[in-house]
Amino acid sequence: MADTIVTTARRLPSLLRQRLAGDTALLRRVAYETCLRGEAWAVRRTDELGLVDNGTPGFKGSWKSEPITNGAELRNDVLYAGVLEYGRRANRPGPPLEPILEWVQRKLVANGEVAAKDAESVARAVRWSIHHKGTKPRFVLRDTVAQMRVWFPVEAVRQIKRRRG
Amino acid sequence: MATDPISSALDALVTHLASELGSSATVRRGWPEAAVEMDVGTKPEVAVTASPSPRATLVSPRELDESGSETLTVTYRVGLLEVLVQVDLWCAYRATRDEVAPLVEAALHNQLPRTSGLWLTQDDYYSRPLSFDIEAPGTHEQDAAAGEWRSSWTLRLTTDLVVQTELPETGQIDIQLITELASEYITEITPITP
Repeated sequence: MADTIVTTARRLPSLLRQRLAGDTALLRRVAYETCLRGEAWAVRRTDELGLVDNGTPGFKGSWKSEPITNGAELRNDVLYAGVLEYGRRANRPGPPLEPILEWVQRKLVANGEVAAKDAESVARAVRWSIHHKGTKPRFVLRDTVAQMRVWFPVEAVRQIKRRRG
Repeated sequence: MATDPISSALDALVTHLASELGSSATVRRGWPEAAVEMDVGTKPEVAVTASPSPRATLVSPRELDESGSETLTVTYRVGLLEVLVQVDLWCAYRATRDEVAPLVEAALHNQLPRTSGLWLTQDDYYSRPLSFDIEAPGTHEQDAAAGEWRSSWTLRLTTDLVVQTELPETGQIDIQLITELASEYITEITPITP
């Protein structure tokens, strides 16, 4: 149905401003909702790729959505998120030992698979393996953003239509 | 004729980059695994890696081509394929990277000044067009200590999904019959058409 508004020339600018402000607020909300949906998608992709680490600050548990001034943001704050996303060649310096040691303690020591005294040597072995094999780019965030690009306009149009009746 | 559009698209991209960059860099397809030796000290290296999760959207089939006489071979476009591709440049020195990165950037925008992005044709996949949207490059300084300065670009590749089918001779006879009937019908109505 056509959206008809009767106004005067004097009132038109303020009416347009008011309407745009309403739409902008709505689009911000849609952007945030899209990010939340993207977050769930990213977590599922993380599972599918076998990058599961639920701990804090594990990769899977570190996906976060937040409203920002211009819309919303989906990000992963974990230290090695960039390495998983863009990959890293074999035999380059690192990776840092601390997150691996923390992972060994949380996963292997807690389950009794590794004795507490051996945690550091196991962590060093894991680090050595990653160091020598490198990691391929995993495209988790970029695949998610590609999906969000599809969701956002569809949802934005739907919400604006609904708001205008 | 290749049957994998992604493989064919990556081949086309590698060939294009190799021809544009010439002796400035070595271009390779696929992520350089541990066994791959890269001598970036001698020459910068460029690697082209595709995302493992392409997205296909099926569309209403559209005929692209038909050939043959007794048995018709018909080619249809049946979908759109989107894949993310990462192009990485590795150099031994920052100065070299700052020299070669603009060459890669220029090679990724072969449509300038008309429009940005890259347009190629797949030689091995029904000559279908390839369009690449390029996102802003990123730099990774983490490996600088090991003598590797890296820049990477994310490309959003869009191309067609194509299906080729053969239509049997009987199908052509049917079409011929319909055509004949239609021409008779047209002949009948011709006299009354002003």
